Amino acid sequence: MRSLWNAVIVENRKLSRSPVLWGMLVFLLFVTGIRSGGADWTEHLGSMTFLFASVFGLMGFGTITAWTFGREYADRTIKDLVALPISRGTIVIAKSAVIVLWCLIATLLIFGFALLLGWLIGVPGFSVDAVWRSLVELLTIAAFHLLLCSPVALLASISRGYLVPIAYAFTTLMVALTAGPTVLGPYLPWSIPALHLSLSSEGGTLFPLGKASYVILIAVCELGIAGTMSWWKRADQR
Amino acid sequence: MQEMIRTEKLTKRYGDYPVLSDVSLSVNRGEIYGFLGLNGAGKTTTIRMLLGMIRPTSGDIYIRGRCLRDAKPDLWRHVGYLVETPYAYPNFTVRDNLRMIARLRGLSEQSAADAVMEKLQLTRYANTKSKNLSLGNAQKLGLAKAMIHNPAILILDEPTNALDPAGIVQVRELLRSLAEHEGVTVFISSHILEEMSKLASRIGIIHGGSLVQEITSRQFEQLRRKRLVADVRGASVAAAELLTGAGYTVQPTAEGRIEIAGEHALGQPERIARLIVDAKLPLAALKVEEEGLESYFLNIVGAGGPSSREEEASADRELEQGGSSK
Repeated sequence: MRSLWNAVIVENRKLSRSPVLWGMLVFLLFVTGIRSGGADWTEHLGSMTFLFASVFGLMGFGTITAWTFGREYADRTIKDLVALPISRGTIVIAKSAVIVLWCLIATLLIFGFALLLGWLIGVPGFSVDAVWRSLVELLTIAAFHLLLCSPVALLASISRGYLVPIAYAFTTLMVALTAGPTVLGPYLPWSIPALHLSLSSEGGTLFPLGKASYVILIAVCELGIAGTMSWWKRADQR
Repeated sequence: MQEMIRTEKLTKRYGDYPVLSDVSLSVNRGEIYGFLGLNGAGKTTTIRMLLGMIRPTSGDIYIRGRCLRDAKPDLWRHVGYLVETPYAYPNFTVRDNLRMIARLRGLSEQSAADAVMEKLQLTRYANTKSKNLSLGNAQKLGLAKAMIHNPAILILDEPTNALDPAGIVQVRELLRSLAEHEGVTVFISSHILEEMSKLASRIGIIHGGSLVQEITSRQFEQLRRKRLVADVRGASVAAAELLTGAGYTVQPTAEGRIEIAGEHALGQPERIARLIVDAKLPLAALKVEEEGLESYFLNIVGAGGPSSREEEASADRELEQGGSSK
């Protein structure tokens, strides 16, 4: 447990001092800023949540994951991590924990920023219910996107860098935007978060898509985690 | 003597391409084992396998008697390493990089980082970002990461690369002192032969993925071919006839000098001098020339020209007599 804690501290230090994290956050806040406003708070916060479900999650979380795993290969520091008194599996868990932590922090910062902007530009019809509902939706969408990050980590490890997984994140974004509205949408992991959001806004239920969609998200996550763990433990680290 | 590193028939193949074949070696506590080879000979592959970074196709590795195949991560508490060119997180300072390694190894960050910086004379660069370090200081940072936990075994791949002469001497003395006074076992790869001969207590020569020779540094010195060369100005033919008549094996050299081979000549050069002088031949110089380490090494690995195989066989024969041949 102590070794996991040590690994989390080190990984947190590396990510929190990375220009990629802060650059990404500034970009997301900027886009949130230019898309803010609306007839009421539900529309204002809904616009931000939709951006999150369709673009921010795939690109923002994907880039942070790609960087966290890929930088070790790009900076050639991977060899410092593979013969330590800490298992390689523990390093992978620590990296994943730090990604989850910072993606949630980024999500909450964007939400707080949207609230501040709404107040500053004087969006009418403020309601605690609307804010609360929007926060729950946002955190649910963030959780779905975090499930989709594990294949990014696997690709970063296999390709030994961050370019391939970032390209993958862009591709999944394109696929989600083009194939999401078709009948295939509920079965494409990357379009599930946005579909979930649009249906839950209309129907008011917590999990409006069929069970298969949520199972697909969990299966993708498990495959990514198992693949990444296996790669770190078994693959030759040349 | 405690065996710290042992490999048994270590083999690595990528598809049908063999990178390492049946390498068996053993390093004892307090020994400095020099692993010599040309680029691509298999040095770094061996080191990566010793560190568990690459899985062998066959064969086993034992570190402090524990088979690497089943070892738990705590084994690496006793091992410090540097593989190829050292890299560090570029936007972190020397101190920060070391503190992170200390934390991962479960050490007190500040005291471990300060102590190793002091040991490697890196303290003045403590607040320099690693991307701004010179190659030599980056190499020292790599060594500091390897030594931060005072390991019982150091596995170092070309550790003196990029160091200036003062840095090379400093690292050499440090490693020697660690081995002699603290019983640290050092496994060090290099292609710098002179450096190895000054540092290592035993040397393994690897070529084409095979360990072609394993000798002590003393044997290494002895095996370097020596010859007696006489410069007899304008009378080399007469001198050669004279010495041949006296029972010596003589050969003319391209520079117009004569080369007298054999232990008999090397042991008593004054007799040769007396013979030449008594015959009133103009002896300008008489000296023992030693084969360079480079040419010895190239002969051993078969890259030294047509006669290299013969000399390799001869060296092997000498080694067999000493009982150390592999």
